[in-house]
Amino acid sequence: MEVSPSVVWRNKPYRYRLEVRRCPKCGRAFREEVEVCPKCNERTERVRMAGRGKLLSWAKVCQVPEGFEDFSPLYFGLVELEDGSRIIARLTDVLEEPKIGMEMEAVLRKVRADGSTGLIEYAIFFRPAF
Amino acid sequence: MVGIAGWGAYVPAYRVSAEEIARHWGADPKVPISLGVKEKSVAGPDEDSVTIAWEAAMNALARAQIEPSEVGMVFIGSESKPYAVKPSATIIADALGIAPETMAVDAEFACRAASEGMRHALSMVENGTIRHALIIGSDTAQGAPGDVLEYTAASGGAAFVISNENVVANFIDAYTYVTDTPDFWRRDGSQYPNHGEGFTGEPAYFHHLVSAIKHLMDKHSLKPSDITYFVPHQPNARFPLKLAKMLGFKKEQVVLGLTTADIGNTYNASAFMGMTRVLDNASPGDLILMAPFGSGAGADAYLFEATDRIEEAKGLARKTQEYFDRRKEIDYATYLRYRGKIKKLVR
Ligand SMILES: [Zn+2]
Repeated sequence: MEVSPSVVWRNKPYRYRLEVRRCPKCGRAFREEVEVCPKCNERTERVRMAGRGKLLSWAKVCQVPEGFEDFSPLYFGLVELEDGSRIIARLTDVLEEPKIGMEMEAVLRKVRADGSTGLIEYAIFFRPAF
Repeated sequence: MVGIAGWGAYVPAYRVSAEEIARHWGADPKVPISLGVKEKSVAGPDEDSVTIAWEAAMNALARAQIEPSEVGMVFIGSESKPYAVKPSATIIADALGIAPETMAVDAEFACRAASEGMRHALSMVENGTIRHALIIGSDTAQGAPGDVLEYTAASGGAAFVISNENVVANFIDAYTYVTDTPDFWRRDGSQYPNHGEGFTGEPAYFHHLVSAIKHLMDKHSLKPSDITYFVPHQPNARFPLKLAKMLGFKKEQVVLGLTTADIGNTYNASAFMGMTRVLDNASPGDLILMAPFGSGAGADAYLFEATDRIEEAKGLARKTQEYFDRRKEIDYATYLRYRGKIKKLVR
């Protein structure tokens, strides 16, 4: 099985809603359910990151990994969100060449499908705001 | 008073023109012209009825200005579910922060499953079972390559928040009319629908819609001129205008809600999509008659009256027309690839 049910289930907060666990002391954010900051030993808090931001950098991938042929070419972007967080995410609806500094917004999209019988993986991507 | 508290649409960016489809098949270009649909919206390769529903619902929730966790029912109508078994409603409820304290329903009734949800929601909110409901119609409609449906079967979604609070359109009344009619169907496991030629018009679309609409208008002693906007189901751009004429409505009462003329038929979002563009433009006091239809067959007629809150809600999310205006034309081969009809065989 290419798409693991347990991984899809475990990653829901970050991948569906951009939720992270953040350390109130050092500010470090974790995509995984890290309950205590390994550096400060503080209890982390669940926060939802902003759904809008600016594109800092991007890359286009034409030689895509197995299972991603339907989505080729893939675009990845480094996005600085309105709350200051910087994340790397898939970009979508790239109708023309992306420009550094362009406004981006979060949308739910299909990451991949496991053949015709396995699970479908969904996650937040970013697209040029319009 | 119960009614619509928020509305929202979503339409993918890609368009394939009827001319391009006809060119590919060497078909008579007069056929798509007679349907009144110049181009249709096409979901991108990373879109399906779940992702489309998500964005339409985000817009509806933004306009309703309610907490997602207070939604007591997520109801999605679709005939293009990504999973045959596994609900779309739970994915949407989880991704929108509505889960876990909610009901979640996936329904199928050709193009009117979502409308069935709206009827349930209105009565459940009215009697206090739930506080708010989220009703979504979303489809990546299937048309077999070469079928006449291919000119119109489009992708898109529309959503409504039903509530007693923050209402933008008061619900006045509704009426539903169904019979077993073999006008359009898709068997389990089959990829594309079939339609009973000659059965789709008079005995299905027109009979059910006229019956539902006439009953509702007679009950409330309404004349066509009392209605501001008439928004029927729209499999193409021709049927709704013919229906309007049969019922005595003027073209001006129909065109704002006739969104199939712009992007094709979005099935469960067909009349709903038209309704979102009407609400984007309606004024307080406007009387709106929305009438979804689904093959198999059934029709609903709803009467809504816009409230003063509609003006402030308009700017809280992206307008339907903005999605129509964001468009990228693709050729037939790209359309086939985006909809998974051709696959790469070699890596
Ligand atoms: Zn820390």
